[in-house]
Amino acid sequence: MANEYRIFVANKSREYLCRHGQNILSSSIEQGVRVIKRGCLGGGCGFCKIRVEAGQYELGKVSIKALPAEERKEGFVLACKTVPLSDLVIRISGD
Amino acid sequence: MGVMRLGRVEARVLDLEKSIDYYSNVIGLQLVAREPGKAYFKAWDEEDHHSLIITEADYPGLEHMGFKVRYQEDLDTFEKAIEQYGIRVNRVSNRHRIGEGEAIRFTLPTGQVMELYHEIERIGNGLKLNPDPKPENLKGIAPPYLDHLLIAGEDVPATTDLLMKVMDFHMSERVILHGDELFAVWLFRTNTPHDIAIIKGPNGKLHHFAFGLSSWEDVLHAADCLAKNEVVLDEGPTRHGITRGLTIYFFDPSGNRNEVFSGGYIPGEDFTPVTWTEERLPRGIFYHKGEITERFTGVFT
Ligand code: FES
Repeated sequence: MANEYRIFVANKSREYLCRHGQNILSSSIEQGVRVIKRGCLGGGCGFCKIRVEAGQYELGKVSIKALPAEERKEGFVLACKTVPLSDLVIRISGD
Repeated sequence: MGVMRLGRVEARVLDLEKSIDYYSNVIGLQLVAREPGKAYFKAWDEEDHHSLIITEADYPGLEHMGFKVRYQEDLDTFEKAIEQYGIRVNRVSNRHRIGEGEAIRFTLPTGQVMELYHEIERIGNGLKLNPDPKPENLKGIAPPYLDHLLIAGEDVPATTDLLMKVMDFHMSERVILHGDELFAVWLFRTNTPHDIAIIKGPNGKLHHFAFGLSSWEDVLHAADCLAKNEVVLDEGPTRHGITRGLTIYFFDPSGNRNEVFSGGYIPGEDFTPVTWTEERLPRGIFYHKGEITERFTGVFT
């Protein structure tokens, strides 16, 4: 599938597809894959925080309170503002 | 004499342009002024210069809330009373922000910054001589006024005590858990069920601020507007058990929760507060569904 990336949720053993340019939370909701918590979808609340274990992505503008710089360096992202640039392996935080 | 109403909310936003578009075209407020990093809005039926300021920042949330007092001298009275209560008060100088006069500024025990002010430029609503019921060319949801806000904090009783004892707020409703824990309160100075509410949660945080609407019909129209514009919905349209209000919750582009609110009752100063306990609290929050969602109780900015 040329215009989609595969998102593998490591600690849930689930996989779904994300269209190019779409964020990985909205695409999971669209497909009824309820693995990431959905909050404000605006990068403001931190509800959708997950960790990317492998792959390239672009992170849009998010709250520095919800995602401090140190966490960002460790691969944590806010899923609602994360657009994949390759297939991704993600891990749901807190599990 | 005293506090009249919630006059303004200053919210932090991540992207100013996107937020200006949202508050102008989806909410349907009037953009009255701009300066670098800030935009000022008023709702159509308000007479003061602005009731919402959005300020660009690295994280969303509440920058400050301002309550308008009846007379300029009230500022001196409240300054003394709040200092005597044990909270430090600062003066905010005239024209610190566009259109605003002097204010006093202090931090609530729950961590939010509150201002009291009297002077603000008056723009008017244009409906004072042989008026029609509404102005022309309203856009989006077009609420007539800013209604209330809900803030969170660890010590709900402390902020409640300050607001009731020093600023003469009255209680319309409260949530009491485990027999004696004051978990949330709804307080008013106007004749609506709440101008401010406080819920137990992380200090300094905003749960939502709300715009007033006039009917269930208007709430439905708002829901259609939100869907048409793909705004992120939280809950509703539905009814609250608490305040009996009709409501929708949704998120602005930075994740600040907004509400449109209609209905409720008209409490007087002698109103006996309504109490909610754990057995019935889910119906108190969302009357129809009778369920509390993790998102509604867990998302703050
Ligand atoms: S859902 Fe709120 S930050 Fe992603």
